[in-house]
Amino acid sequence: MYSVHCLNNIAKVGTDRLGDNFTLTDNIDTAQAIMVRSASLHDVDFSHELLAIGRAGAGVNNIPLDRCAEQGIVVFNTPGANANGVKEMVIAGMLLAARDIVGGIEWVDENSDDPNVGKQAEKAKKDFAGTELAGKNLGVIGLGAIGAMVANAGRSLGMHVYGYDPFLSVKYAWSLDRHVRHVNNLSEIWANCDYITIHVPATDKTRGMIGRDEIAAMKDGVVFLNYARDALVDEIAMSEALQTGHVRRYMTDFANSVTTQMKHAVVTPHLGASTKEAEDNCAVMCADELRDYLENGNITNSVNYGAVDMGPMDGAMRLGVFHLNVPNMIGQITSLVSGAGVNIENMTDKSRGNYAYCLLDLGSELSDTTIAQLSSIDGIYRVRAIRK
Amino acid sequence: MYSVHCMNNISQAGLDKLYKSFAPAKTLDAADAVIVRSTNMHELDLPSGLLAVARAGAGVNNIPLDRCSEQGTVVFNTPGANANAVKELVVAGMLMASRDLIGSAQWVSEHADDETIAKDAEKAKNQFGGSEISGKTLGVIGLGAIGAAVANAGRRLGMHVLGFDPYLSIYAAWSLDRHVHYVQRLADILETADYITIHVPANDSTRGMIGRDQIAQMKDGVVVLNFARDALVDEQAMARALESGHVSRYVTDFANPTTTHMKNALVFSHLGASTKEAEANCAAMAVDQLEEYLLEGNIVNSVNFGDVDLGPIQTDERIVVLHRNIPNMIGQFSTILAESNLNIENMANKRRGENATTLIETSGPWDDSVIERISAVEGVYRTRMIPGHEM
Repeated sequence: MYSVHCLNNIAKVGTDRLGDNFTLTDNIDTAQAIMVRSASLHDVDFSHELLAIGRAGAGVNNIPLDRCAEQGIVVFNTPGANANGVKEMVIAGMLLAARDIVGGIEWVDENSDDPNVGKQAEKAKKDFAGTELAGKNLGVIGLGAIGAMVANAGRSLGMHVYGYDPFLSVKYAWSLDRHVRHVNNLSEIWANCDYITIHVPATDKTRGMIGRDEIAAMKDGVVFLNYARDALVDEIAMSEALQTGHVRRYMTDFANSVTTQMKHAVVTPHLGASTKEAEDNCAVMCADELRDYLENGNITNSVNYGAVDMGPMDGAMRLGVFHLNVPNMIGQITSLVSGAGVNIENMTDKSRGNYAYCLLDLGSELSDTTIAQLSSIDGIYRVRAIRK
Repeated sequence: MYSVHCMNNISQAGLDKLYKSFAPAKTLDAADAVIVRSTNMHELDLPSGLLAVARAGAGVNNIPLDRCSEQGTVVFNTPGANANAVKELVVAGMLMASRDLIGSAQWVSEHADDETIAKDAEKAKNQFGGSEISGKTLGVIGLGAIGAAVANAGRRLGMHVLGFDPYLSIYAAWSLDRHVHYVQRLADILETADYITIHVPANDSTRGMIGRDQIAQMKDGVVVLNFARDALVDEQAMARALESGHVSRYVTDFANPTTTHMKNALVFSHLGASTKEAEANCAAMAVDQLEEYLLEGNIVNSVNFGDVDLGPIQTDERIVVLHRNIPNMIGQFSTILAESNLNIENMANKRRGENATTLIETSGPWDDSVIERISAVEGVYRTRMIPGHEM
């Protein structure tokens, strides 16, 4: 029986999926797992009981990842659970950019006491008229869970879609509408697209990737949408391009001192994932990940350990070993196990940065003494034995 | 060559298309046909030779229909040319009703000079969050060009779609995604849909069709969208339902003193057809319809005469007769033809309201006396002979 502590409200559809093997506890020190949304864990001391932290959401900067890794605590997040929430936001963004719907609504508000507002609207409306999405070219930069959905949605709205992603995975390639044109060079997107939307993580490589030169290469009157991270765009350069009209509209989900002063920007307060469904999906996905890890030792969508999946546990014992990613660790682990006369039936070892995770199915149970010996090897953070 | 006068500006693409087949006429008096958008024609004298008025757009209340009918002027409009424009606005309306995008953008504007806005936004955003449309049920009332496009868009955005239209056309049925669930009763939509959108014309049988009783049958928290005509909805009843929260959002393209004072209404400034593409489509469609009528006599999308289509002219000439829809007209025409020893090869007759169109092709050549005799029949407004195509 595992106990789980929820640090934030976690949707019941999520906690319900943990199953009979789990109870919820109010005591963080006796819990094997924590479910968290935005609460900060940086100042929390973790007990030795704690095996995993599930973040119902994508961003993990509220969690001390290295400290967790060194204690053998696996941190999970839920990438893609909010994909549809963001996709719908991007569609709304394109439509709000195509016609000045917002300006039209504000005009109606300002004239709400005019008894002839309907007639006046017929004259005023040409200021808010615009274009349609169908037939236009949409460029999608980054074809992960969100980008692939946006690309498909663009197709279903009758757009010509160009997709760019040098790291495209088989999974998302498969999910893409076959009419999405895959381009190998961003310049093809700049040269062709009327709408450009970006869906990549913010890393050292992607920060500022939409800079002055990239913006200059875009078509006159382009609409740029950013529902990923503000750091991806050089916002000073974007402000200037909006000022000259080279970029017609900047639709962004990131309010800051630069975007709020931009001309022709529509700025929303980070609503991309703010839907009930996204919250539910995150909770469900988070619970599924925790359950598979606690019951089977499998790791999916961890941000501090590599992904390992050996299916449901069915041998005599499954052993999870968390170790520093340095030479001869696997050698030491396997010789100790075989030295104890126990056969290794299956093994997977996966590294992620400085840390690695080794999962072993054993033919018979390993004694507590051997497990203690394993744990004392230099560079091993934790050894976890899962018994049937 | 027929000459056409443009009473309003139409797109360059439309003009290019127009002047491929027709000569420009500087004035209404010199024109065989006109293209019009919003100019009010009620006070204008229409030349007796005016064959057609093509309205680039849907509404025709700027055109004196009865007067046109009585002098044998066919009035066309371009339904469906704005279908995609309206469809996209309906999608925007659904998304804007699902999350408070407008309220949130206004919040950002109000806090534009706040240095900690990025951090504050994370707290403030809770009040603007909402739900997704994927997985929800969309009810579409009226499956014409616009309703069908909306239904298909709903499907592609992951919605369950129910469609209601007792007059569903084959064309629309064919274009519908096969997963759109066709329901027989309006109540099926009212009782199950999370989003309800209406796409029917306003006439005596549809005016106020979304009234107090229909609203009462809807699910709690339903979103109602009206991008068709304000008269379809009993807006007093809607205002009360919004006040009580029974209807969570009313998204309408029609600003009037009732809608602008509704709680939780999103009132657009009649932007449904306000796109460059819709304008271009309307102009192109209007030109196509004029070509078809002036050069072949076929009528597509007329609002005052019946639609007839015999395809391209097969014989030496085709006769178009515009007349009142009264008994024995066809009998009289065929008697006149028989007396002139003309055999009818092809004929089509279609009524629309009080008027009707008859197209006739015969085996032999006509002379003016036959035309005169038909024109003299009581109830005939105009008889026109169109020469056939050289083979």
